[in-house]
Amino acid sequence: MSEAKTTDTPQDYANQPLPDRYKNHRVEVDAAKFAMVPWDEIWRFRELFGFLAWRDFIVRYKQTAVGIFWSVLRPILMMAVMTIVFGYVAGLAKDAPYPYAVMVFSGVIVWQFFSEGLTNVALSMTNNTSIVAKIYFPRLILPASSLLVSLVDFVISLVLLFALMLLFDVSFTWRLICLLPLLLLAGTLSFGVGVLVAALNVRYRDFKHILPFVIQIGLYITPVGFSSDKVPEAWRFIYSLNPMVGVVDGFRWAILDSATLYLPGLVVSMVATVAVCWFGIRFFRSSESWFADII
Amino acid sequence: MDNFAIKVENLGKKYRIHHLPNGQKMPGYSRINEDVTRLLKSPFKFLSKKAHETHQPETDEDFWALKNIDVTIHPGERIGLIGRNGAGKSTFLKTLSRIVTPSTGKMTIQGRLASLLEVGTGFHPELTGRENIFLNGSILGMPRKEIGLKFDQIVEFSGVERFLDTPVKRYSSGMYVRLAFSVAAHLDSEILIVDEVLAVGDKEFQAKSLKKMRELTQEEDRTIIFVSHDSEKIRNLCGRVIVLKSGQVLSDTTDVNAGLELLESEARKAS
Repeated sequence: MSEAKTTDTPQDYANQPLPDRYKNHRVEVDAAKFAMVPWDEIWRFRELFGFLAWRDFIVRYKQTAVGIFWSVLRPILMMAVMTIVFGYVAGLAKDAPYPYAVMVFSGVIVWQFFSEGLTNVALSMTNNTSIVAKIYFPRLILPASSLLVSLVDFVISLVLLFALMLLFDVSFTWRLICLLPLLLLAGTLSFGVGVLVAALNVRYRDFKHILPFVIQIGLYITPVGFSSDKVPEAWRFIYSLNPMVGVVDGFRWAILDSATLYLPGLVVSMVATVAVCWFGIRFFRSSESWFADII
Repeated sequence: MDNFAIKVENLGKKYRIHHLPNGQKMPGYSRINEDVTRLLKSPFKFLSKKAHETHQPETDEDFWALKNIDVTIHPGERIGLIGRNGAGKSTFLKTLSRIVTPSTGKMTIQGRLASLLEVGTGFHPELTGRENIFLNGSILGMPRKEIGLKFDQIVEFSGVERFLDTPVKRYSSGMYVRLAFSVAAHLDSEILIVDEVLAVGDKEFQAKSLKKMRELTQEEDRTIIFVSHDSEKIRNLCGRVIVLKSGQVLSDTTDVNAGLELLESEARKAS
Protein backbone atom coordinates (compact mmCIF):
# COMPACT_ATOMS: atom_id res chain seq x y z
CA MET A 1 0.00 0.00 0.00
CA SER A 2 1.37 3.37 -0.93
CA GLU A 3 1.74 5.95 1.70
CA ALA A 4 -0.60 8.86 1.20
CA LYS A 5 0.62 12.30 2.05
CA THR A 6 -1.70 14.12 4.37
CA THR A 7 -1.48 17.84 4.00
CA ASP A 8 -4.31 18.65 6.37
CA THR A 9 -3.73 21.06 9.18
CA PRO A 10 -6.07 21.60 12.11
CA GLN A 11 -6.69 25.17 11.00
CA ASP A 12 -8.27 23.91 7.81
CA TYR A 13 -10.93 22.10 9.74
CA ALA A 14 -11.32 24.48 12.62
CA ASN A 15 -12.19 27.38 10.37
CA GLN A 16 -14.68 25.64 8.15
CA PRO A 17 -18.37 26.10 8.86
CA LEU A 18 -20.28 23.11 10.16
CA PRO A 19 -21.52 21.05 7.18
CA ASP A 20 -25.31 20.97 6.92
CA ARG A 21 -25.62 17.27 7.56
CA TYR A 22 -24.04 17.68 10.99
CA LYS A 23 -26.61 20.24 12.04
CA ASN A 24 -29.63 18.04 12.57
CA HIS A 25 -28.26 15.94 15.36
CA ARG A 26 -26.84 17.37 18.52
CA VAL A 27 -26.29 15.35 21.65
CA GLU A 28 -25.01 16.63 24.95
CA VAL A 29 -23.78 14.31 27.65
CA ASP A 30 -23.10 15.77 31.04
CA ALA A 31 -21.92 13.58 33.90
CA ALA A 32 -23.84 15.77 36.34
CA LYS A 33 -27.26 15.62 34.66
CA PHE A 34 -30.02 13.04 34.89
CA ALA A 35 -33.31 12.66 33.03
CA MET A 36 -36.14 10.34 34.06
CA VAL A 37 -37.30 9.25 30.62
CA PRO A 38 -35.42 10.45 27.53
CA TRP A 39 -38.48 10.74 25.28
CA ASP A 40 -36.71 12.51 22.41
CA GLU A 41 -34.05 9.79 22.25
CA ILE A 42 -36.62 7.02 22.40
CA TRP A 43 -38.49 8.67 19.54
CA ARG A 44 -35.29 8.86 17.52
CA PHE A 45 -34.67 5.13 18.02
CA ARG A 46 -38.32 4.10 17.45
CA GLU A 47 -37.46 1.84 14.51
CA LEU A 48 -35.04 -0.15 16.63
CA PHE A 49 -37.88 -0.81 19.05
CA GLY A 50 -39.84 -2.54 16.30
CA PHE A 51 -36.83 -4.41 14.96
CA LEU A 52 -35.92 -5.84 18.36
CA ALA A 53 -39.47 -7.00 18.98
CA TRP A 54 -39.56 -8.53 15.49
CA ARG A 55 -36.27 -10.31 16.15
CA ASP A 56 -37.44 -11.74 19.48
CA PHE A 57 -40.66 -12.89 17.90
CA ILE A 58 -39.24 -14.74 14.90
CA VAL A 59 -36.25 -16.15 16.75
CA ARG A 60 -38.44 -17.66 19.42
CA TYR A 61 -39.91 -20.43 17.32
CA LYS A 62 -36.94 -21.13 15.04
CA GLN A 63 -36.20 -24.85 14.79
CA THR A 64 -39.46 -25.85 16.44
CA ALA A 65 -41.81 -28.27 14.75
CA VAL A 66 -45.13 -26.54 15.39
CA GLY A 67 -43.82 -22.96 15.62
CA ILE A 68 -46.39 -20.30 16.43
CA PHE A 69 -48.85 -23.02 17.42
CA TRP A 70 -47.11 -23.05 20.80
CA SER A 71 -48.66 -19.67 21.50
CA VAL A 72 -52.06 -21.30 21.00
CA LEU A 73 -51.25 -24.44 22.94
CA ARG A 74 -49.90 -22.88 26.14
CA PRO A 75 -52.99 -20.99 27.32
CA ILE A 76 -55.29 -23.85 26.27
CA LEU A 77 -53.30 -26.43 28.22
CA MET A 78 -53.12 -24.21 31.28
CA MET A 79 -56.87 -23.59 31.07
CA ALA A 80 -57.64 -27.30 30.70
CA VAL A 81 -55.51 -28.31 33.69
CA MET A 82 -56.86 -25.57 35.94
CA THR A 83 -60.48 -26.22 34.96
CA ILE A 84 -60.11 -29.90 35.77
CA VAL A 85 -58.22 -29.38 39.03
CA PHE A 86 -60.15 -26.44 40.49
CA GLY A 87 -63.49 -26.86 38.76
CA TYR A 88 -64.01 -30.60 39.01
CA VAL A 89 -61.47 -32.14 41.41
CA ALA A 90 -61.96 -29.36 43.98
CA GLY A 91 -65.61 -29.09 42.95
CA LEU A 92 -65.77 -25.32 42.49
CA ALA A 93 -67.61 -25.56 39.16
CA LYS A 94 -70.81 -26.90 40.74
CA ASP A 95 -72.60 -23.71 41.73
CA ALA A 96 -70.81 -21.36 39.33
CA PRO A 97 -73.20 -19.03 37.44
CA TYR A 98 -70.88 -19.05 34.37
CA PRO A 99 -69.08 -21.66 32.28
CA TYR A 100 -66.10 -22.52 34.45
CA ALA A 101 -63.71 -22.93 31.52
CA VAL A 102 -64.37 -19.40 30.26
CA MET A 103 -63.91 -18.02 33.75
CA VAL A 104 -60.55 -19.79 34.09
CA PHE A 105 -59.44 -18.86 30.60
CA SER A 106 -60.10 -15.16 31.16
CA GLY A 107 -57.76 -15.35 34.15
CA VAL A 108 -55.18 -17.48 32.36
CA ILE A 109 -54.70 -15.14 29.41
CA VAL A 110 -54.04 -12.06 31.53
CA TRP A 111 -51.88 -14.01 33.97
CA GLN A 112 -49.78 -15.42 31.13
CA PHE A 113 -49.44 -12.00 29.56
CA PHE A 114 -48.26 -10.61 32.88
CA SER A 115 -45.91 -13.42 33.88
CA GLU A 116 -44.33 -13.97 30.47
CA GLY A 117 -44.03 -10.24 29.96
CA LEU A 118 -42.39 -9.93 33.35
CA THR A 119 -39.92 -12.71 32.58
CA ASN A 120 -39.04 -11.26 29.17
CA VAL A 121 -38.62 -7.74 30.52
CA ALA A 122 -36.61 -8.86 33.53
CA LEU A 123 -34.16 -10.84 31.42
CA SER A 124 -34.02 -8.35 28.55
CA MET A 125 -30.78 -6.72 29.66
CA THR A 126 -28.80 -9.85 30.43
CA ASN A 127 -30.09 -11.63 27.32
CA ASN A 128 -28.70 -8.83 25.17
CA THR A 129 -25.34 -8.42 26.86
CA SER A 130 -23.48 -8.13 23.57
CA ILE A 131 -25.60 -5.24 22.33
CA VAL A 132 -25.63 -3.40 25.64
CA ALA A 133 -21.85 -3.59 25.95
CA LYS A 134 -21.17 -2.51 22.36
CA ILE A 135 -23.78 -0.02 21.16
CA TYR A 136 -25.63 2.93 22.59
CA PHE A 137 -29.39 3.33 22.44
CA PRO A 138 -31.86 4.33 25.14
CA ARG A 139 -31.78 1.21 27.27
CA LEU A 140 -35.49 1.36 28.05
CA ILE A 141 -36.09 0.21 24.47
CA LEU A 142 -34.92 -3.31 25.30
CA PRO A 143 -37.44 -4.08 28.05
CA ALA A 144 -40.18 -2.29 26.13
CA SER A 145 -39.63 -4.33 22.99
CA SER A 146 -39.61 -7.52 25.08
CA LEU A 147 -43.04 -6.66 26.38
CA LEU A 148 -44.29 -6.21 22.85
CA VAL A 149 -43.58 -9.87 22.13
CA SER A 150 -45.85 -10.93 24.99
CA LEU A 151 -48.50 -8.65 23.56
CA VAL A 152 -48.51 -10.64 20.33
CA ASP A 153 -49.15 -13.78 22.37
CA PHE A 154 -51.94 -12.02 24.16
CA VAL A 155 -53.67 -11.10 20.91
CA ILE A 156 -53.59 -14.78 19.90
CA SER A 157 -55.07 -15.72 23.29
CA LEU A 158 -57.78 -13.12 22.84
CA VAL A 159 -58.88 -14.72 19.58
CA LEU A 160 -59.03 -18.05 21.42
CA LEU A 161 -61.09 -16.44 24.16
CA PHE A 162 -63.67 -15.20 21.67
CA ALA A 163 -63.84 -18.66 20.14
CA LEU A 164 -64.37 -20.15 23.59
CA MET A 165 -67.08 -17.63 24.38
CA LEU A 166 -68.95 -18.60 21.22
CA LEU A 167 -68.52 -22.27 22.07
CA PHE A 168 -69.97 -21.86 25.57
CA ASP A 169 -72.61 -19.41 24.40
CA VAL A 170 -71.38 -16.50 26.53
CA SER A 171 -72.86 -13.22 25.37
CA PHE A 172 -70.60 -10.40 24.20
CA THR A 173 -71.28 -7.18 26.10
CA TRP A 174 -70.09 -3.59 25.95
CA ARG A 175 -67.93 -4.36 28.97
CA LEU A 176 -65.42 -6.03 26.66
CA ILE A 177 -64.14 -2.57 25.78
CA CYS A 178 -62.80 -2.35 29.33
CA LEU A 179 -60.30 -5.08 28.43
CA LEU A 180 -58.18 -2.43 26.76
CA PRO A 181 -57.49 -0.23 29.83
CA LEU A 182 -57.17 -3.38 31.95
CA LEU A 183 -54.60 -4.74 29.52
CA LEU A 184 -52.72 -1.47 29.78
CA LEU A 185 -52.80 -1.85 33.55
CA ALA A 186 -51.40 -5.39 33.39
CA GLY A 187 -48.74 -4.33 30.88
CA THR A 188 -47.66 -1.35 32.96
CA LEU A 189 -47.43 -3.45 36.09
CA SER A 190 -45.43 -6.08 34.25
CA PHE A 191 -43.13 -3.43 32.81
CA GLY A 192 -42.64 -1.68 36.16
CA VAL A 193 -41.73 -4.81 38.08
CA GLY A 194 -39.76 -6.09 35.08
CA VAL A 195 -37.45 -3.11 34.65
CA LEU A 196 -36.76 -3.12 38.37
CA VAL A 197 -35.72 -6.77 38.23
CA ALA A 198 -33.88 -6.19 34.94
CA ALA A 199 -31.68 -3.53 36.53
CA LEU A 200 -31.09 -5.61 39.64
CA ASN A 201 -30.35 -8.65 37.51
CA VAL A 202 -27.48 -6.85 35.81
CA ARG A 203 -25.75 -6.59 39.17
CA TYR A 204 -27.09 -9.63 41.00
CA ARG A 205 -27.74 -12.60 38.78
CA ASP A 206 -29.53 -14.12 41.78
CA PHE A 207 -32.72 -12.60 40.40
CA LYS A 208 -32.65 -14.89 37.40
CA HIS A 209 -33.09 -17.78 39.81
CA ILE A 210 -35.54 -16.09 42.16
CA LEU A 211 -37.90 -14.90 39.44
CA PRO A 212 -39.43 -18.22 38.25
CA PHE A 213 -40.03 -19.12 41.88
CA VAL A 214 -41.74 -15.81 42.64
CA ILE A 215 -43.91 -16.12 39.53
CA GLN A 216 -44.95 -19.60 40.60
CA ILE A 217 -46.00 -18.29 44.00
CA GLY A 218 -47.79 -15.45 42.24
CA LEU A 219 -49.89 -17.96 40.32
CA TYR A 220 -51.11 -19.47 43.61
CA ILE A 221 -51.97 -16.17 45.28
CA THR A 222 -53.71 -14.81 42.18
CA PRO A 223 -57.24 -16.04 41.39
CA VAL A 224 -56.40 -17.74 38.08
CA GLY A 225 -57.96 -21.18 38.56
CA PHE A 226 -60.73 -19.96 40.85
CA SER A 227 -62.81 -16.85 41.33
CA SER A 228 -61.87 -14.42 44.09
CA ASP A 229 -65.53 -14.55 45.22
CA LYS A 230 -64.39 -17.70 47.01
CA VAL A 231 -62.22 -15.61 49.32
CA PRO A 232 -64.03 -14.86 52.66
CA GLU A 233 -65.36 -11.30 52.73
CA ALA A 234 -63.23 -10.38 55.76
CA TRP A 235 -60.06 -11.27 53.91
CA ARG A 236 -61.06 -9.77 50.58
CA PHE A 237 -59.15 -6.51 50.96
CA ILE A 238 -55.99 -8.13 52.31
CA TYR A 239 -56.18 -10.60 49.44
CA SER A 240 -56.52 -7.73 46.96
CA LEU A 241 -53.25 -6.17 48.06
CA ASN A 242 -51.70 -8.36 45.38
CA PRO A 243 -52.13 -5.98 42.43
CA MET A 244 -52.78 -8.82 39.98
CA VAL A 245 -55.99 -9.72 41.87
CA GLY A 246 -57.65 -6.50 40.76
CA VAL A 247 -56.51 -6.98 37.18
CA VAL A 248 -57.75 -10.58 36.94
CA ASP A 249 -61.06 -9.68 38.62
CA GLY A 250 -61.42 -6.80 36.19
CA PHE A 251 -60.87 -9.12 33.23
CA ARG A 252 -63.54 -11.52 34.49
CA TRP A 253 -65.98 -8.70 35.04
CA ALA A 254 -65.39 -7.43 31.51
CA ILE A 255 -65.87 -10.84 29.93
CA LEU A 256 -68.60 -12.50 32.00
CA ASP A 257 -71.96 -10.86 32.52
CA SER A 258 -72.53 -12.56 35.87
CA ALA A 259 -69.15 -11.76 37.42
CA THR A 260 -68.98 -8.98 39.98
CA LEU A 261 -66.31 -6.34 40.40
CA TYR A 262 -64.63 -5.62 43.72
CA LEU A 263 -63.80 -1.98 43.27
CA PRO A 264 -61.29 -1.45 46.15
CA GLY A 265 -59.18 -4.23 44.65
CA LEU A 266 -59.05 -2.47 41.28
CA VAL A 267 -58.11 0.80 42.95
CA VAL A 268 -55.29 -0.96 44.82
CA SER A 269 -54.07 -2.37 41.51
CA MET A 270 -54.04 1.02 39.83
CA VAL A 271 -52.27 2.78 42.67
CA ALA A 272 -49.73 -0.03 43.05
CA THR A 273 -49.11 -0.13 39.30
CA VAL A 274 -48.40 3.57 39.00
CA ALA A 275 -46.13 3.48 42.05
CA VAL A 276 -44.23 0.37 40.95
CA CYS A 277 -43.83 1.63 37.40
CA TRP A 278 -42.55 5.03 38.52
CA PHE A 279 -40.11 3.49 40.96
CA GLY A 280 -39.02 0.80 38.52
CA ILE A 281 -38.26 3.21 35.69
CA ARG A 282 -36.49 5.56 38.06
CA PHE A 283 -34.34 2.81 39.45
CA PHE A 284 -33.59 1.50 35.98
CA ARG A 285 -32.60 4.92 34.72
CA SER A 286 -30.33 5.70 37.62
CA SER A 287 -28.69 2.28 37.25
CA GLU A 288 -28.13 2.75 33.53
CA SER A 289 -24.83 4.50 34.09
CA TRP A 290 -23.14 1.30 35.26
CA PHE A 291 -24.89 -1.27 33.04
CA ALA A 292 -22.14 -1.38 30.43
CA ASP A 293 -19.44 -1.47 33.11
CA ILE A 294 -20.55 -4.64 34.83
CA ILE A 295 -22.96 -6.48 32.53
CA MET B 1 -16.91 28.57 17.15
CA ASP B 2 -19.72 26.07 17.12
CA ASN B 3 -18.46 24.09 14.14
CA PHE B 4 -17.05 21.06 15.95
CA ALA B 5 -18.18 17.49 15.49
CA ILE B 6 -17.11 16.40 18.94
CA LYS B 7 -16.19 18.55 21.87
CA VAL B 8 -15.02 16.88 25.04
CA GLU B 9 -14.39 18.86 28.20
CA ASN B 10 -12.68 17.55 31.31
CA LEU B 11 -13.91 14.04 30.67
CA GLY B 12 -13.12 11.40 33.25
CA LYS B 13 -14.14 7.84 33.96
CA LYS B 14 -13.61 6.23 37.30
CA TYR B 15 -13.78 2.55 38.09
CA ARG B 16 -13.65 1.01 41.50
CA ILE B 17 -11.48 -2.00 42.05
CA HIS B 18 -12.35 -4.19 45.01
CA HIS B 19 -9.52 -5.95 46.74
CA LEU B 20 -10.16 -8.94 48.94
CA PRO B 21 -8.15 -9.15 52.18
CA ASN B 22 -5.74 -11.63 50.62
CA GLY B 23 -4.90 -9.23 47.82
CA GLN B 24 -7.11 -10.76 45.15
CA LYS B 25 -9.36 -8.63 43.03
CA MET B 26 -13.12 -8.92 43.27
CA PRO B 27 -15.26 -9.64 40.26
CA GLY B 28 -17.18 -6.63 39.01
CA TYR B 29 -20.58 -7.70 40.22
CA SER B 30 -21.13 -7.56 43.92
CA ARG B 31 -22.86 -10.17 45.96
CA ILE B 32 -26.26 -9.53 47.34
CA ASN B 33 -25.45 -10.42 50.95
CA GLU B 34 -22.88 -7.62 51.22
CA ASP B 35 -25.36 -5.04 50.02
CA VAL B 36 -28.11 -6.41 52.23
CA THR B 37 -25.79 -6.15 55.23
CA ARG B 38 -25.09 -2.55 54.34
CA LEU B 39 -28.79 -1.91 53.82
CA LEU B 40 -29.60 -3.26 57.28
CA LYS B 41 -26.79 -1.37 58.98
CA SER B 42 -27.75 2.02 57.59
CA PRO B 43 -30.90 1.88 55.48
CA PHE B 44 -31.14 5.61 54.77
CA LYS B 45 -27.56 5.94 53.73
CA PHE B 46 -27.91 2.96 51.42
CA LEU B 47 -30.99 4.30 49.67
CA SER B 48 -29.55 7.75 49.19
CA LYS B 49 -28.20 8.53 45.77
CA LYS B 50 -24.59 8.68 46.91
CA ALA B 51 -24.73 5.22 48.47
CA HIS B 52 -22.03 3.73 46.32
CA GLU B 53 -19.80 6.78 46.64
CA THR B 54 -19.80 6.87 50.41
CA HIS B 55 -19.30 3.16 50.87
CA GLN B 56 -15.55 2.90 50.94
CA PRO B 57 -13.93 0.14 52.90
CA GLU B 58 -10.15 0.30 52.98
CA THR B 59 -9.91 -2.45 50.43
CA ASP B 60 -11.42 -0.39 47.63
CA GLU B 61 -9.31 1.50 45.19
CA ASP B 62 -10.32 4.12 42.65
CA PHE B 63 -8.98 3.73 39.20
CA TRP B 64 -9.26 6.52 36.68
CA ALA B 65 -9.41 4.94 33.24
CA LEU B 66 -9.74 8.44 31.77
CA LYS B 67 -8.88 11.73 33.36
CA ASN B 68 -9.11 15.38 32.31
CA ILE B 69 -9.59 14.70 28.62
CA ASP B 70 -10.11 17.86 26.56
CA VAL B 71 -10.41 17.29 22.84
CA THR B 72 -12.17 19.06 20.01
CA ILE B 73 -12.66 17.26 16.72
CA HIS B 74 -13.88 19.00 13.59
CA PRO B 75 -15.94 17.61 10.71
CA GLY B 76 -13.87 15.79 8.10
CA GLU B 77 -10.94 15.01 10.34
CA ARG B 78 -9.46 11.54 10.44
CA ILE B 79 -8.11 10.95 13.90
CA GLY B 80 -5.84 8.12 14.88
CA LEU B 81 -6.17 7.24 18.53
CA ILE B 82 -3.04 5.50 19.72
CA GLY B 83 -1.53 4.38 22.98
CA ARG B 84 -0.25 1.23 24.60
CA ASN B 85 -2.48 -1.45 26.08
CA GLY B 86 -4.44 -0.05 28.99
CA ALA B 87 -3.89 3.58 28.00
CA GLY B 88 -7.64 4.15 27.92
CA LYS B 89 -8.31 4.02 24.17
CA SER B 90 -11.25 1.67 24.38
CA THR B 91 -12.75 3.43 27.36
CA PHE B 92 -12.49 6.74 25.51
CA LEU B 93 -14.20 5.34 22.43
CA LYS B 94 -16.88 3.68 24.51
CA THR B 95 -17.50 6.95 26.30
CA LEU B 96 -17.75 8.82 23.00
CA SER B 97 -20.17 6.18 21.74
CA ARG B 98 -22.17 6.72 24.95
CA ILE B 99 -21.94 3.06 25.91
CA VAL B 100 -20.02 4.01 29.02
CA THR B 101 -21.27 6.93 31.11
CA PRO B 102 -18.57 9.43 32.11
CA SER B 103 -17.92 10.07 35.80
CA THR B 104 -16.93 13.68 35.29
CA GLY B 105 -17.05 16.26 32.55
CA LYS B 106 -19.16 16.98 29.54
CA MET B 107 -19.23 16.18 25.87
CA THR B 108 -21.18 17.54 22.95
CA ILE B 109 -21.57 15.70 19.70
CA GLN B 110 -22.95 17.21 16.50
CA GLY B 111 -23.87 14.75 13.80
CA ARG B 112 -24.84 11.11 14.06
CA LEU B 113 -22.16 8.95 15.59
CA ALA B 114 -21.79 5.26 14.85
CA SER B 115 -19.30 3.04 16.57
CA LEU B 116 -17.93 -0.18 15.22
CA LEU B 117 -16.21 -1.38 18.33
CA GLU B 118 -16.72 -4.89 17.12
CA VAL B 119 -18.24 -5.93 13.83
CA GLY B 120 -21.47 -7.87 13.86
CA THR B 121 -22.89 -6.29 16.98
CA GLY B 122 -26.41 -7.55 17.39
CA PHE B 123 -26.11 -10.21 14.72
CA HIS B 124 -28.41 -12.99 15.75
CA PRO B 125 -27.15 -16.48 14.87
CA GLU B 126 -30.64 -17.81 14.14
CA LEU B 127 -31.51 -15.07 11.65
CA THR B 128 -30.58 -15.21 7.99
CA GLY B 129 -28.05 -12.91 6.38
CA ARG B 130 -30.84 -10.84 4.87
CA GLU B 131 -32.63 -10.44 8.21
CA ASN B 132 -29.39 -9.62 9.97
CA ILE B 133 -28.57 -6.82 7.53
CA PHE B 134 -31.79 -5.12 8.53
CA LEU B 135 -31.42 -5.83 12.24
CA ASN B 136 -27.76 -4.84 12.43
CA GLY B 137 -28.31 -1.74 10.30
CA SER B 138 -31.09 -0.68 12.59
CA ILE B 139 -29.02 -1.30 15.73
CA LEU B 140 -26.24 0.81 14.22
CA GLY B 141 -28.74 3.60 13.65
CA MET B 142 -29.65 3.32 9.96
CA PRO B 143 -33.25 4.13 9.08
CA ARG B 144 -35.10 1.20 7.52
CA LYS B 145 -35.67 3.05 4.26
CA GLU B 146 -31.97 3.65 3.87
CA ILE B 147 -31.08 0.02 4.56
CA GLY B 148 -33.49 -0.94 1.79
CA LEU B 149 -31.84 1.49 -0.62
CA LYS B 150 -28.34 0.30 0.17
CA PHE B 151 -29.22 -3.36 0.49
CA ASP B 152 -27.82 -4.40 -2.89
CA GLN B 153 -24.57 -2.47 -2.36
CA ILE B 154 -24.11 -4.07 1.05
CA VAL B 155 -24.65 -7.55 -0.31
CA GLU B 156 -22.36 -6.96 -3.28
CA PHE B 157 -19.56 -5.60 -1.11
CA SER B 158 -19.76 -8.54 1.27
CA GLY B 159 -19.82 -11.18 -1.47
CA VAL B 160 -22.24 -13.51 0.33
CA GLU B 161 -25.10 -13.29 -2.20
CA ARG B 162 -25.53 -17.05 -2.36
CA PHE B 163 -26.03 -17.44 1.37
CA LEU B 164 -28.36 -14.54 1.98
CA ASP B 165 -31.18 -16.77 3.18
CA THR B 166 -29.04 -19.04 5.33
CA PRO B 167 -28.96 -18.45 9.10
CA VAL B 168 -25.66 -16.75 9.92
CA LYS B 169 -24.86 -19.46 12.48
CA ARG B 170 -23.98 -21.63 9.46
CA TYR B 171 -21.66 -18.98 7.97
CA SER B 172 -17.91 -19.36 8.02
CA SER B 173 -16.25 -16.82 10.27
CA GLY B 174 -14.91 -15.00 7.20
CA MET B 175 -18.33 -14.66 5.62
CA TYR B 176 -19.77 -13.49 8.91
CA VAL B 177 -17.15 -10.78 9.32
CA ARG B 178 -17.44 -9.63 5.71
CA LEU B 179 -21.19 -9.22 5.95
CA ALA B 180 -20.86 -7.39 9.26
CA PHE B 181 -18.25 -5.00 7.92
CA SER B 182 -20.31 -4.32 4.81
CA VAL B 183 -23.30 -3.21 6.83
CA ALA B 184 -21.12 -0.94 8.94
CA ALA B 185 -19.27 0.49 5.93
CA HIS B 186 -22.52 1.63 4.37
CA LEU B 187 -23.59 3.61 7.36
CA ASP B 188 -24.50 7.14 6.54
CA SER B 189 -23.56 8.59 9.92
CA GLU B 190 -21.34 11.63 10.02
CA ILE B 191 -18.93 10.37 12.66
CA LEU B 192 -17.57 6.85 12.55
CA ILE B 193 -15.59 5.21 15.34
CA VAL B 194 -13.59 2.20 14.26
CA ASP B 195 -11.63 -0.05 16.57
CA GLU B 196 -9.34 -2.57 14.91
CA VAL B 197 -12.11 -3.66 12.58
CA LEU B 198 -9.67 -3.98 9.73
CA ALA B 199 -7.74 -6.67 11.54
CA VAL B 200 -10.27 -9.23 10.32
CA GLY B 201 -10.91 -11.03 7.07
CA ASP B 202 -8.37 -12.22 4.56
CA LYS B 203 -5.71 -10.01 3.03
CA GLU B 204 -7.81 -9.19 -0.01
CA PHE B 205 -10.80 -8.15 2.06
CA GLN B 206 -8.62 -6.10 4.41
CA ALA B 207 -7.29 -4.11 1.47
CA LYS B 208 -10.81 -3.70 0.12
CA SER B 209 -12.10 -2.43 3.44
CA LEU B 210 -9.18 -0.07 3.89
CA LYS B 211 -9.92 1.37 0.47
CA LYS B 212 -13.58 1.71 1.40
CA MET B 213 -12.62 3.57 4.57
CA ARG B 214 -10.50 6.02 2.60
CA GLU B 215 -13.38 6.64 0.22
CA LEU B 216 -15.70 7.24 3.13
CA THR B 217 -13.50 9.91 4.62
CA GLN B 218 -12.56 11.63 1.40
CA GLU B 219 -15.74 11.76 -0.62
CA GLU B 220 -17.99 13.05 2.08
CA ASP B 221 -17.46 15.30 5.10
CA ARG B 222 -17.13 12.33 7.33
CA THR B 223 -15.20 12.28 10.57
CA ILE B 224 -13.38 9.12 11.50
CA ILE B 225 -11.79 8.09 14.75
CA PHE B 226 -9.61 5.09 14.21
CA VAL B 227 -7.82 2.91 16.73
CA SER B 228 -5.10 0.54 15.71
CA HIS B 229 -1.77 -0.78 16.87
CA ASP B 230 -0.59 -0.81 13.27
CA SER B 231 1.46 2.35 12.57
CA GLU B 232 1.26 1.73 8.84
CA LYS B 233 -2.52 1.87 8.85
CA ILE B 234 -2.51 4.98 11.00
CA ARG B 235 -0.12 6.71 8.57
CA ASN B 236 -2.29 5.64 5.69
CA LEU B 237 -5.57 6.79 7.05
CA CYS B 238 -5.14 9.55 9.58
CA GLY B 239 -4.32 13.23 9.45
CA ARG B 240 -4.03 13.73 13.16
CA VAL B 241 -3.12 11.52 16.07
CA ILE B 242 -4.06 11.63 19.72
CA VAL B 243 -1.65 9.74 21.96
CA LEU B 244 -3.12 8.47 25.22
CA LYS B 245 -1.13 7.42 28.25
CA SER B 246 -2.62 6.30 31.57
CA GLY B 247 -5.97 7.79 30.69
CA GLN B 248 -4.62 11.22 29.78
CA VAL B 249 -3.78 12.93 26.53
CA LEU B 250 -0.01 12.78 26.08
CA SER B 251 0.03 14.42 22.69
CA ASP B 252 -2.48 15.72 20.16
CA THR B 253 -0.81 16.56 16.87
CA THR B 254 -1.30 16.72 13.13
CA ASP B 255 2.26 15.48 12.69
CA VAL B 256 1.36 11.83 12.50
CA ASN B 257 4.95 10.60 12.39
CA ALA B 258 5.92 12.57 15.47
CA GLY B 259 3.00 11.11 17.36
CA LEU B 260 3.90 7.58 16.35
CA GLU B 261 7.54 8.15 17.32
CA LEU B 262 6.47 9.50 20.70
CA LEU B 263 4.53 6.32 21.27
CA GLU B 264 7.50 4.20 20.32
CA SER B 265 9.85 6.08 22.62
CA GLU B 266 7.34 5.63 25.44
CA ALA B 267 7.31 1.92 24.74
CA ARG B 268 11.14 1.80 24.84
CA LYS B 269 11.21 3.72 28.11
CA ALA B 270 8.81 1.24 29.67
CA SER B 271 10.67 -1.89 28.65
